[in-house]
Amino acid sequence: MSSTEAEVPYGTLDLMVLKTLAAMGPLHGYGIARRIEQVSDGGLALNQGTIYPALLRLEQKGWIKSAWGTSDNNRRARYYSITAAGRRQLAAEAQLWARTVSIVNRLLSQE
Amino acid sequence: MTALRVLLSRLLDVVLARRRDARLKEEIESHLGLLTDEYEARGLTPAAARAAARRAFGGIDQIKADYRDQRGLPLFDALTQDVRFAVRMLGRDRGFAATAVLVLGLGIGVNNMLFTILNAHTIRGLPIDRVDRVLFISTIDDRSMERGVSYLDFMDMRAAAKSFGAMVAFTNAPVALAGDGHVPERHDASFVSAHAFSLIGTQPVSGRAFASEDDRPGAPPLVVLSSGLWRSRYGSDSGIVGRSIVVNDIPATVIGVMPERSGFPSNAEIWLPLAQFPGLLAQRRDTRTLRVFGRLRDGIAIAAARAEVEGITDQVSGEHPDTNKNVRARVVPINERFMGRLTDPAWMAFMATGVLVVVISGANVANLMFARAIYRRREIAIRSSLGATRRRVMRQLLIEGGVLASLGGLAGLGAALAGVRVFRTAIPENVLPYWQFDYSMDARVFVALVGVSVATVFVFALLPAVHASRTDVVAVLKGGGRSGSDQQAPQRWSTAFLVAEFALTVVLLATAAVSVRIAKPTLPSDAVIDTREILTATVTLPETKYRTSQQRIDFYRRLQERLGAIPGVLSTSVASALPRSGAAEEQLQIDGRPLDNDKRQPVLTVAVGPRYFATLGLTLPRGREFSSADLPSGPAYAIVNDAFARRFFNGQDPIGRRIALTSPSPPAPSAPSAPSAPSVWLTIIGTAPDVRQRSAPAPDALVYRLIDITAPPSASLLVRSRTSPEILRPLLDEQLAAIDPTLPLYKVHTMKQVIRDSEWVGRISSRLATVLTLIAVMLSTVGLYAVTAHAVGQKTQELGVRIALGARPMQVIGVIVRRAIFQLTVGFAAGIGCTMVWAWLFSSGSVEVKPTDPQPLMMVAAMLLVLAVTACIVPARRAIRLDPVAAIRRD
Repeated sequence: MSSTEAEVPYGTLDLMVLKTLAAMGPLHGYGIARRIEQVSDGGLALNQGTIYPALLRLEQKGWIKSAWGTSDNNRRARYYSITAAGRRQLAAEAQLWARTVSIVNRLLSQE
Repeated sequence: MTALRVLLSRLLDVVLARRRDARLKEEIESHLGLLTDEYEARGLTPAAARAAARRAFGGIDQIKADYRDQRGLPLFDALTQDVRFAVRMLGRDRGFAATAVLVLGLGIGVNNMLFTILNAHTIRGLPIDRVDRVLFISTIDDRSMERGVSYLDFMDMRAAAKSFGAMVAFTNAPVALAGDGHVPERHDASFVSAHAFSLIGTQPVSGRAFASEDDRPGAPPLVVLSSGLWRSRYGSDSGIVGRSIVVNDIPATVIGVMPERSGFPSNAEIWLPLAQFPGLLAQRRDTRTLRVFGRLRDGIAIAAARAEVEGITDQVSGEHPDTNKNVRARVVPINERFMGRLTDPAWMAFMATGVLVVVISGANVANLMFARAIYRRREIAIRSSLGATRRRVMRQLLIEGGVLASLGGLAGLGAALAGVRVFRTAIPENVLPYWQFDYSMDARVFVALVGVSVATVFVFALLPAVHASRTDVVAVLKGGGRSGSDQQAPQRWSTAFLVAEFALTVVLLATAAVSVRIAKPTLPSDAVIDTREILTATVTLPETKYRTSQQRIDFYRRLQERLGAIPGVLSTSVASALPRSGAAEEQLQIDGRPLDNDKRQPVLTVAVGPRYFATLGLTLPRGREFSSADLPSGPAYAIVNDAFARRFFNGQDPIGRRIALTSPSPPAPSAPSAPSAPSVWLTIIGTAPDVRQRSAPAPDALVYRLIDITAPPSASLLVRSRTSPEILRPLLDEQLAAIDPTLPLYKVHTMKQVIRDSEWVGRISSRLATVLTLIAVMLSTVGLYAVTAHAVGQKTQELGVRIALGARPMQVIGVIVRRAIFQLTVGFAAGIGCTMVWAWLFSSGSVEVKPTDPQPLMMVAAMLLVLAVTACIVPARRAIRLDPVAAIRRD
């Protein structure tokens, strides 16, 4: 693993998944993983499999829901979509994240 | 909200575990498929594409485990896993598991059996509807003796008391049945107030019970029959209600039949209204023989009712100072009156015994777990080194304890049910004092069972678990699991448990020894009575027909003569009471000694006919017994027993001394025509061996008088004969009929039966004590064996070295036995201390035999020694047969 690839910070995977679903509409696990990799432009070391525990976690909380569907190349896949509660959660968490980032940035840019 | 959602979803996962697993698997498959497609599209071969997809996806099993941890209830999953593992581990060590389950089962079983009995007697109590609301009322006379209530007092009390919804009285007396085409018979009857049955909540199965108008003086005589009598005498005749039968020579109409097993208030077979009791209305205010109880009105507190009754009693005592001066009322819940309170020392001791047994078995299991935990050190060390946390290891061990306790609890349930069944069948049907108790298991008993089982694990599996989980991984793995002396702490603990177990066993044994000794007939004369050849029966002379004492004397003399003339009969006599069947109590005065009023001297008295002792098979050590030549008109004689001579004459020869007896109270209404014995001087003409009239462990001081002096209206016959009772019985009936055809013989039993029945309480408690003792000894043996065997296992190397260096077998055994004896001695000493505390705590027991007396303790010591030897045999044999080379190289 090269040092240019960042580990996924704890808890941010959930946020990324929610944002992806909010932006892209219903997606299967593979699609979500691909999307996150694309956006990070190879800057994130993501084992695609780790997305599934996160999906389960989000589903248990009622922020996303899932249903079986068929992919573009005719494979059976489970599609996840964000719920209304998920959107609210995303808004709240995005705000929190932005605040956290700005605080950390301010701290780091001192001196 | 979200938390609840997550919990629900996880709970659902537990149920749907399989489906969720399948879903994940499918998702992963589909994901890998999509990835592979993509890699293939980039130009990789299918195999390379598949491999690349797997790499990109990451560790599938890790993901699955992660996913599983998210899903469901991890604790629950882990628990099921642990339980499965525990069952597997126990299954691998069946000897240990079986021993532990057996030990726990016995302990929990005994505990639960005792609790079931306690629950039936004191908590559930008498089979009366809402028994806690029924109060029993009696009086305390000026001599602080508990008495019944007189009819007049009862009437006043019932009229004045406002706290009771109903108040009823009863008295028991046998009645003669005739006039229905059957032979005359006597049966136990109860004379009860109207509404007595509805008060206790029992209704006749057919017909009706007594109403108020039936219980008035002058009302037509009515009777209610028991199911048993209805069946045996009237062949379950469905038309019995409304028929007329003759009771005590008076025609009476049957109005109802009671359900099975309701002998209320004791063993009644037939009921009559209280007002029908002969001579009731003429009874004086100080003839206190009625038993009274009442049901509280709703919302009235017991204390309030008690205060009210006491107030009424005081008022009555003010109005009738001649009869009621210093007479007080005693008002207690009816169950407490007859069964005692949960807090009574006897019941406390009873329950404490149950706790002791369970603690002993728990300590035992703890020791077994200690021993096992040490064998498992390596396994635990490996688990720890693989990442099991200390909590997880402890949990695993506790769960093993839990599995054991569940099995033990189940075994205990079986043992308790079996024990209670045996206990129940050990009570002879015909002597059951008050109704049938319900010994079935109820929620309370079940909760107690579960509670005790759970507590046992927590208390006794916890300590071994804590110890085992503290295993020093490095030391164990480095030492190759060598069994040196590096595990001192558990050793100390298991020694402590063992010593505690011994101490408690000593307490159990010592108290059990007392029960057994009390119950066992220890008097020489008890064994002297040759009970087999004696047939006994009772006859009662109706006062209407046998008015004068001369008539009764003549009757007894003629009966004794006629019975003696039956071929095969060796000897006959009569007595006012058979051995073990009670006796009258009278005040004693000795000629030449001042009558000390403060130091009253009650003695028991029995009126007997000539040849009484000869019929019992007894010879008098001094003097002679009554003969038919002793006439009531002649000089009055008495025979005293050895206990009497010891108590009042310091064991010196009392023959020729004179005594006088006076009845302490007016004659009882059950013997209304018995004249109070005139205060005449009786000259002692003989001493008798101690025959117990009561079931008390020690013989009472007893005076025998010739039956002619008292001429009681009821007497028991004793017939010694080689003829079998079945053949003899009709011959007796025949002879009785020749004198008076209307009189029935009743209570026809062999002497053996009489004594057996009188001993049932003692017999049951002694059996219970014996069983408890056996269990305690067994548990202790198992405990000592486990600890000794384990110590031998621990010391294998040491013993091997000793043998290699030339130790003789006896020296090797010495090493092992010394340890056992040491533990035993400490345990015994501690046990004596505990026994003293026990005796002090529950000091209601026998005065004659204390558990701290040397004799029971010697017995206990001997028993423990046998136990120690038994427990050491196997380990010691194993030790001396050790092959030193193999032993030293072990591990």
